[in-house]
Amino acid sequence: MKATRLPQKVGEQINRSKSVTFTYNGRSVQCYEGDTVAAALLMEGRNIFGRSFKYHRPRGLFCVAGRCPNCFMEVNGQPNVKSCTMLAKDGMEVKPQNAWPSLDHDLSSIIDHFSFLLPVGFYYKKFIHPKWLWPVARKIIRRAAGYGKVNLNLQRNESEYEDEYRYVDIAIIGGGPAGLSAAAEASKSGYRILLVDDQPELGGHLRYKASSCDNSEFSGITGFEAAKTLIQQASATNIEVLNNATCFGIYEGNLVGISQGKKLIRARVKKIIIATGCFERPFSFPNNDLPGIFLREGVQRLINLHSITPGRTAVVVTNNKYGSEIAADLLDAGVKISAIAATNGSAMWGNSLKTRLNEERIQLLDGYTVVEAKGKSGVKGAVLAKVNEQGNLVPDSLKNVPCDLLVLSTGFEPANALLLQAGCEAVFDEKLGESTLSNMVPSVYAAGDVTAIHDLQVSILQGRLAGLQAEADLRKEQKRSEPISIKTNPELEQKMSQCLAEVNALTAKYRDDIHPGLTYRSPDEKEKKFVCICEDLVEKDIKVAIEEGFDDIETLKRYTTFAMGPCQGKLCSLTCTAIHAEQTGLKLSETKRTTSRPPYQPLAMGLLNGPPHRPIRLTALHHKHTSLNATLMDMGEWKRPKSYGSLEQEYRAIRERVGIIDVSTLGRFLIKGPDSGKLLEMVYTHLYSNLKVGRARYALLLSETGKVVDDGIIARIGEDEYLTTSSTGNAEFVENWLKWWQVTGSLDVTITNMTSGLAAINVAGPRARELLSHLADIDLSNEAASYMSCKKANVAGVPGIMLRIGFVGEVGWEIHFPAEYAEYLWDKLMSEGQAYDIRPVGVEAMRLLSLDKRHIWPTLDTDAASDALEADLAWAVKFEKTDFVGKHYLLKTQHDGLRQHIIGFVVKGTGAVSNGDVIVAESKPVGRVTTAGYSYAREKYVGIAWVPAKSANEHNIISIVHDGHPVEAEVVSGAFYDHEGQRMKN
Amino acid sequence: MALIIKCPNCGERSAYEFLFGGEALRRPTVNAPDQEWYNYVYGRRNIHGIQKEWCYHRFGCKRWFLLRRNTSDNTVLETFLPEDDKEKDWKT
Repeated sequence: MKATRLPQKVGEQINRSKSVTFTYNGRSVQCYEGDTVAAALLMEGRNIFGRSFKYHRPRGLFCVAGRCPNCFMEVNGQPNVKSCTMLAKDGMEVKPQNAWPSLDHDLSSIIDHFSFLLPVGFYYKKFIHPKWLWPVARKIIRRAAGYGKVNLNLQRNESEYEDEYRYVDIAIIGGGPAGLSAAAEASKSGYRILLVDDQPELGGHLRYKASSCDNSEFSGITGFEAAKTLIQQASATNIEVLNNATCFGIYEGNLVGISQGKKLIRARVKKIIIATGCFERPFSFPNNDLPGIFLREGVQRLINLHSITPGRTAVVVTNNKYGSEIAADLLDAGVKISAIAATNGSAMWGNSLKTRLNEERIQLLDGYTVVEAKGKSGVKGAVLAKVNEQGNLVPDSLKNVPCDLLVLSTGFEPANALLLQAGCEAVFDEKLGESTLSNMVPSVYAAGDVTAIHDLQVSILQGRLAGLQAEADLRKEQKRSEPISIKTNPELEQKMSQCLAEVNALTAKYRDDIHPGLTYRSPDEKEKKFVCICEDLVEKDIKVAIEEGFDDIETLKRYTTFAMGPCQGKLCSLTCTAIHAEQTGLKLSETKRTTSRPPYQPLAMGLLNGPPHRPIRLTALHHKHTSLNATLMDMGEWKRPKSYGSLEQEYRAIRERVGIIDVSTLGRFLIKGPDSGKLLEMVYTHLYSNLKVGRARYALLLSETGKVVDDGIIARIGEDEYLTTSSTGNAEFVENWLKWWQVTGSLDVTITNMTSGLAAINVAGPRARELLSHLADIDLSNEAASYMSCKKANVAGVPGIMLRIGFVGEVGWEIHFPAEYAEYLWDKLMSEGQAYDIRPVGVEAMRLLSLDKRHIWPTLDTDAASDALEADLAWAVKFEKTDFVGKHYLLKTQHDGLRQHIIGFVVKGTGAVSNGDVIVAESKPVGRVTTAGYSYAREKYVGIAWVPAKSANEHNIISIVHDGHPVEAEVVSGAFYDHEGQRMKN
Repeated sequence: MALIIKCPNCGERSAYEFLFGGEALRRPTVNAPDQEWYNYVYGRRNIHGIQKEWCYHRFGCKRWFLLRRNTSDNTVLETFLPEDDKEKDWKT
């Protein structure tokens, strides 16, 4: 079989002025822009494109439309790419799959001779005696079977996949005559339309229809021309067209999933029109999988879109009018036709074609069918025979006809998977020989070949009707508040009924005229008569499985695996269902088909995963930390400096001199309004009604069940104005929590999340006051700005709020100011601070400093089960308040008694302990260490832990297991350092 | 099927922009019996039918509003701001 390129013709999708070069197995291949990889390889002389799943039989192009597994190749490292639809691009690296050493000579094809060892379900039956044989066999089978291989070492760019969203009124799936007509009609209303088509250009099957469109409004015009007109009619500003886009599924809530190359589009739509067309059904006969055997559509695409003839001598087997089209196309392309087997006769064929065939002396064999294909690595001939009324072969009618191209046009299957996924139902129509839709669901409409009516005028009318119906339904559901851009359509009802009448009339005529023809099935099942080319199943396999007891279509599918391969039933479902029906005595119209599930076409996992969505938050001081070579750490979404080089130096800086800490990750909220105090008093546990302007107080936030959720500081900066802080990572929660309480209490207060707007720096240490006095414009003496005060001030000219709190146990101020001044203020503090040997201090040191003071960090030292009283925070809970969040359950705890308690401990010896270490008593775990570290002040390891309430007494000895060894520690009350808290109050 | 929700502030948005805030129940008084508190905090009526619930426009305007939703088929009947609720059966 030698493919040839025809001279330039109308309708071809290739651009002969641009050439494309790619490599196949390392060798350079040239083709035209617009050629698919398969078309290019055909021109190179390639006939074998793949090796079958089980038997490694040679396989060639078959559907040339992206439905069968025959053309799978590895492209740029990605396996299982359909080379028949993948457009060739410069620099592509294409490699064959599943064959060694080459596609043309695959050693594994020896398996084909041992097919008797591998019947259907062989992995349940063979190679299991003796027992040791199975693991060996399984390894071999796994390596030999399958299509492509995933290359785990392939370097991938994480962001190569994209995702997008669409919200439109009408989605039309399919850009053929039906879809284009629907788009043209529906767009007149002004509704937003999305037109999705999986080909490089719109037009559907008209793109490769060289013959004229008789009996339609395009009579006398070729398919190409008709397509151009329809596309023109469907060009409107309210239609968005997606080319090369496959709708792979319809999901709940009218969610349409679309894959377009490396892009995933989720479209939430109101109405869906499915105009996905149909595809050819293969016909089964011995050796029907040989390279050179094509479905009619495949050959028409090659001839009309690529100007390639895939063979020299053809045999056409057909039972419908499209057979005459392909015969004409082949003649025009200069292909010699050995014979045409027209199983339902050629009475409907045009006279001009018949005359032409007569002139060329081409045998037009009425009532003939194909009974066998001959050849080894490619088709060499077909055996044709006449079939009588009873469906038997007429004796002595056998003809051996030579050919290197066998074209099958033997019936259709509607591409109705999306309709079925959406919930519509289909039933097999004996007269039409295809499935028709029996039950539609609201918001979904069907038009075109997918309705099993193969008539161009009907398709166009059905498209218009669907567009009108979708518009009518949208108008009914529309509320009066919608935009006025939707133009009124007073004749809508009239147009609809007229269109419907036309459709019904033409459809009835179509039904009358149809006669699918006689079918014949060769009885010899020993021959390789494939019914499922994806999984290498022959007809005998299906029959054997049914005999073995798998006589329900569902179990039959799962046992044989038909319809479970790459085609997902497109090519095999009806054939196998027909065999099942016949073997179980049912009519096809009585059987059930297996469930259609998304995705309609295989999807890469990366496409569904999409680009990485890992938002990372950086503070306004981030570049300062990186320029100081800080090691960064994650705290929720935030990147924070863990340390700037030396934990001990940072610790000592704050204990002995002054240090600065970036605390901009804290949540900050501005609470304003007459009811601000009321809100805070309700949501937090402490008393705030007596908090004076200019003062700050610890803020503890509990859940309704009294569990510790968050803490922070509440500072009263004005009469009805408070600055509230939350811990890092909890800002989102605190915002929605505070707002909920404001809403349910109908409180007159506004809550503004200032977290990103304000930077915050903690300046702490015995010399902090000295440093800040040079920069702040207010009196920072202990009298004017005492511990727990909050003052508005300008620090180095930057307006801010200075909160005097003692988080790290030294004199210090947490300055909150507009984030745009962050780097400026940091630089000022660092340069002024040189005189005091200032250091930037990281989160690790900060945690150690706060551990010295036995500060409890919510979510680090507490969890969802930590009651506030048990967490040793009773001092912050004011039960005298009438009501606050958590009060009821805390009263219960008080009443029922505490079961566990947080304590601070100091290790007795020189031993170490870490976060997470378990506390044991009588060899049983009774508690755990939440935070532990080496206290430079105590020169011992200290920590915070949960222990049973009865063990929480001061001076009690607890046993901690660290690295498998027991470490003794003593329970101490209060802080480990500066127990009276004098240093921070200086 | 409510995968588009109409925020009273912003208009129709994808359901994924919102945070479900639970059934709209009235908070018991602080001295109410334990059973009443238990029902409020842990219990759910799980109505098979139309229920009123809280919704927070997390990835949008960040306002709380109320929804009336039919739990049988997950359709949203209406959305409204708390101040526009005539019943106010959740008000503390």
